[in-house]
Amino acid sequence: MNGPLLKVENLTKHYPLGSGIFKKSIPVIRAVEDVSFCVEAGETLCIVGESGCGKSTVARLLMRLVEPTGGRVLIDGTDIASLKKDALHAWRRRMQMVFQDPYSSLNRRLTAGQIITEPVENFERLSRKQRQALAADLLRKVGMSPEMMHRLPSELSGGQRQRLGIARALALNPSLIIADEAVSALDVSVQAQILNLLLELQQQMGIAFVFISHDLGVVEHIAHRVAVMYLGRIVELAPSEALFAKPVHPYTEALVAAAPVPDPTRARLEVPVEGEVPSPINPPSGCAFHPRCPLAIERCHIEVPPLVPMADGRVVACHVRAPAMGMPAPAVANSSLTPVA
Amino acid sequence: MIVGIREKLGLNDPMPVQFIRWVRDMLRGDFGTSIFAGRPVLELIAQRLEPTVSLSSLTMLVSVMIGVSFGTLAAWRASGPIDRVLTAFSALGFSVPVFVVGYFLVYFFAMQAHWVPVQGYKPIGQGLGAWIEHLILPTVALSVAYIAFIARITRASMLEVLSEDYMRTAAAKGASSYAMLFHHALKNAGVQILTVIGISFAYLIGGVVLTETVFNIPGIGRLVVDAINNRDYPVFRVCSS
Amino acid sequence: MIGGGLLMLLIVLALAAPIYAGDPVNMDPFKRLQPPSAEMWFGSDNLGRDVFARTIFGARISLMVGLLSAACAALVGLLIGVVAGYSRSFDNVVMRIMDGLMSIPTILLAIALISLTGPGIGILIVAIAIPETPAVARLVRSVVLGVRERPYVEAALCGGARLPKVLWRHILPSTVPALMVQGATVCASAILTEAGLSFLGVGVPPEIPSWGNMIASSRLYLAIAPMTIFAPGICLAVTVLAVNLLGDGLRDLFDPRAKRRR
Repeated sequence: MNGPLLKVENLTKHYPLGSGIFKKSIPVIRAVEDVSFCVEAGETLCIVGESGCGKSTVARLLMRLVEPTGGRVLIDGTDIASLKKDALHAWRRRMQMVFQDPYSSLNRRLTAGQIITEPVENFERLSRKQRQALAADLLRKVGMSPEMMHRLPSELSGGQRQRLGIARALALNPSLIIADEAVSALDVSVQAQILNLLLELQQQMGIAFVFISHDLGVVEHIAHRVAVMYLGRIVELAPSEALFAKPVHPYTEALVAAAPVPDPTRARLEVPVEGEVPSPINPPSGCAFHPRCPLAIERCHIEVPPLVPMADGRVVACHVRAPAMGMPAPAVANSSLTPVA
Repeated sequence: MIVGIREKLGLNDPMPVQFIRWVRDMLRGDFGTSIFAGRPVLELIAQRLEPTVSLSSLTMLVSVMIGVSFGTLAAWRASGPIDRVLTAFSALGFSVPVFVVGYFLVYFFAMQAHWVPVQGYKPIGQGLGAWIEHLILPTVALSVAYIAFIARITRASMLEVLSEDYMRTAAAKGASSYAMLFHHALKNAGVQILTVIGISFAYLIGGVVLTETVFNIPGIGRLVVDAINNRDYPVFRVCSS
Repeated sequence: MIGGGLLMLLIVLALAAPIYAGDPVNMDPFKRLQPPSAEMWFGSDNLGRDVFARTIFGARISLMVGLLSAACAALVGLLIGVVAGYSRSFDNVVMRIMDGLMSIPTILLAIALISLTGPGIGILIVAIAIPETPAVARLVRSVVLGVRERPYVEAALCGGARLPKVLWRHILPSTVPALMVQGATVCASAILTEAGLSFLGVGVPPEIPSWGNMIASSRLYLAIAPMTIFAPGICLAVTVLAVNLLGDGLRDLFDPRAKRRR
């Protein structure tokens, strides 16, 4: 099949605050604003950003747990954002999700076996034997012993629970797994085990990941490409090594500088970013980052910077850095380019 | 004859016409005429208003005073002996129907001890003493369940407030337990208690109907029940709104 | 669990009534308003009927009406609550109606409903169940609203589960504890309402012995034969207390943290 596995175009989600029957304009939370990216088969794309930047909403939009306000989500060229219920049901098989909290994402009344085989039973009837074989197979895939299938979630550790969450996502043999902060609720040592499991699964089964995280250490470990979000928008999307070696957007720079680095020989930039993240209800005009940006110029207050492709294959949305280092910015500032994969 | 009555009551007109006429009359202050008594509904209600208002406001007063104190007391020493006694009382108070309480009271305090009249009602215009005398038993009977209810709500909301951080702060800065309970906690729990009492007013009205029957009090409760039994719809409609 | 035991005992006593209790309807004009004796433990009423037998047989009606009304209210309330928790438009309309129903005193609403058709056990159960339904629906709705946002429900949707299956497998089980506790409360309230309606003369038809009927028909003889009123009254209170205690016990069982509160 030609083209990327997942293609997201101008995805937007506004949450209205309260119901506005009588008021003409109601305030909205601009959770996700004009987000575009794509993911190739077998690739890991990480989405990073502070809490509240809209990265989890992107995950929920991709799974269509929430309806987008605008934009398209294409899998193998089919727009799932416009699919009707029945067609959507069929497409669920292609894309699965691993949740953040291994405690609340498992129904505590069901056994491990019931939990991980449920997705398959939504599509086909299984005999008792088939179900047990499937459960054992899935448990083995995520490094657990098949005897665990009779346990309840409360009898398992946090790491084991998250393995169940992954097994449940694997049950339908998806081409893409969306992992929303899939390891951030776990201990550091368990985090490493789960990350390695995900990497193994990717190598064996060629699964693509959209991995959402706020932890740059984790991201650097597994990402092929990284998208940085700030207040609902992607500000920089770059191959992993390039992004960590030489962040372009001032916000990325600050993020990378703030992350603890295990390598003492690596030079550390000191980039001060002051102030709080502004409210997504009333985002700053122009570039949302300008109130905190040490480089902000007049233009940043007025125009939203478009994502500009640069020479090394990354895209950056910054009036100061992007035109200076790459190609000049296009004349129309409010159209955003689809980033090249 | 039936045709004549139907014509007089306007029952031959289409439904919407009847409804509009009814609304129009209501707005003019004409609430209709009792089919049974043949007198204006408003007049019937006005006659019956005093006993019901007396009984329900007196009950409200007594129940809130006793219920809130019981609840506060129980919350003050939660799981202590006082709390246990009060909780048991509250469970019992919930379970004994108002008319059973009423007959017990009548039997022991009116029939055996002759302290108060057995039943009936004297308007407040005929002297405060007689009025109170006739209302004591009905008020007590109706209050039992209501006290239990208010005590329960008060205890729950007080315990909730007492576990808040600012209560610990108040305790830490050395507030006396009296100040803690009444100044800090009750004030904050008060809003919640009042809301619940307001909502439960409907609950009180249900009890008023039964109490008026037990003590033969000519109030609105009796009027409603009689109206329903006689299919006297104009009366029932106005009473329930 | 005293409540549960007491309730079981009452149910057994009521079911076994024909074996030991005697005849509740046989009238004996020569033995009117007798005091308690070895022959008639609780004495006799104004028509010379055995108060003990009538009290025991009255338990059957009270328990039956109470349990059936509670079951109806719980079932309908569950249905309405689940749908309201899941559908915005249904929620807006139906929950407004429920709020309206809740603001009418239970007894008056029941009387009004009965007055539409005339007395009978069936309509009585319906008339008692309808005013109790809104409380159940509200409770179930709040549980459903809380559960539907939980990640495991979203996970089930992601796994391709359809709505009916999600409701049945992941949401309904969470409502069971709250439903059982509320069911006990509704049952207690229903028994009280039945007694109140019968006492007012609009409940159980007068030829069937029920506690409310007995008290109503004996009210003029309180001074002469107090047992005719006290016996059914005390049984009524004990029954309701048992059901209420059962409800409290269930709540403590399902939610140990709430034990300290309330």
